[in-house]
Amino acid sequence: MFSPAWSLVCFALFFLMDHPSQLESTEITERTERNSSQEFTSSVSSIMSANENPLTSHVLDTAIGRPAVGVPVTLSKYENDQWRNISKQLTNSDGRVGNMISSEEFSSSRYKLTFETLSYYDSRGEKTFYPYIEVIFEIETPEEHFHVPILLSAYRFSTYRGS
Amino acid sequence: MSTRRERSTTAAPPPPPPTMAGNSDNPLSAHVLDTTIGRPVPGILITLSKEENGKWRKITEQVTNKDGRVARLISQAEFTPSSYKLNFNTKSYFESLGQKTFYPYIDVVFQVEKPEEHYHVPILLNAYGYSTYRGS
Repeated sequence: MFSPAWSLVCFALFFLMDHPSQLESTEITERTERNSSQEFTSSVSSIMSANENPLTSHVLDTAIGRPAVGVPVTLSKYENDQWRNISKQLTNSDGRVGNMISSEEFSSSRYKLTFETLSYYDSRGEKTFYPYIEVIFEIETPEEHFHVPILLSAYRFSTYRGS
Repeated sequence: MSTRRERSTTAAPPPPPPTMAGNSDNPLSAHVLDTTIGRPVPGILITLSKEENGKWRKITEQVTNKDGRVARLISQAEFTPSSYKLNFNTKSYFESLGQKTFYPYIDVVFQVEKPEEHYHVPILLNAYGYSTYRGS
């Protein structure tokens, strides 16, 4: 037979385990609101980032199904009948490059991305057909985001306009 | 004085007709296909250049035929181990269709290490994407 004291202890334990305290409820509510706020802020930041980061690229090695890390990528802009280098970056651990050009500089023009894929294959001790890959494209709507990836293998590549 | 029969037997045999497979003075060919409509692309101007002393020297330019192909872009004698560039003037094709395209032209730069082999460099073309590969 349970004593009244023991029943009281069990009831208290049950209540505490399944029903958060009022203080904890408040904390959970605040945390949820913070998370929602953070998600909204993050979404807004993403939208803002897309405009501030109007051009991105990505190199995937489709022979191994992995991103191609450490590929030098140079962005050039065609001005006055010649190419002017804007930036040069290495693809990161996800095979990506971003922040290649500011939205201010990203005007309607012709651009070129040069992917130094030979160095990638040299580092892997593999031969490739292409000493480098150039993709030349024209921008008419610079307010949009442009993603220019390369699906790469040693004797084949493809590219497309992504968003 | 040799007779006509003797002169004909000592004349050099005619060269074999050029073929797509195997070299026979046709070590490099190209092809453009529009994969949006599943058809070859005739009338594309293709320019072949060879890298010499750090500069590109134009070798030839040809227009793709009704099958979207060009061949005999370079002689076997000139096709030495080097880097080559094929420039495909693809925008004119889309302009003729009244379509926009992302690419004003397509350059494919490739390395030849075994010029005794045949190299085929096709473009599978769309207005907003393309692919290429080393064919034989």
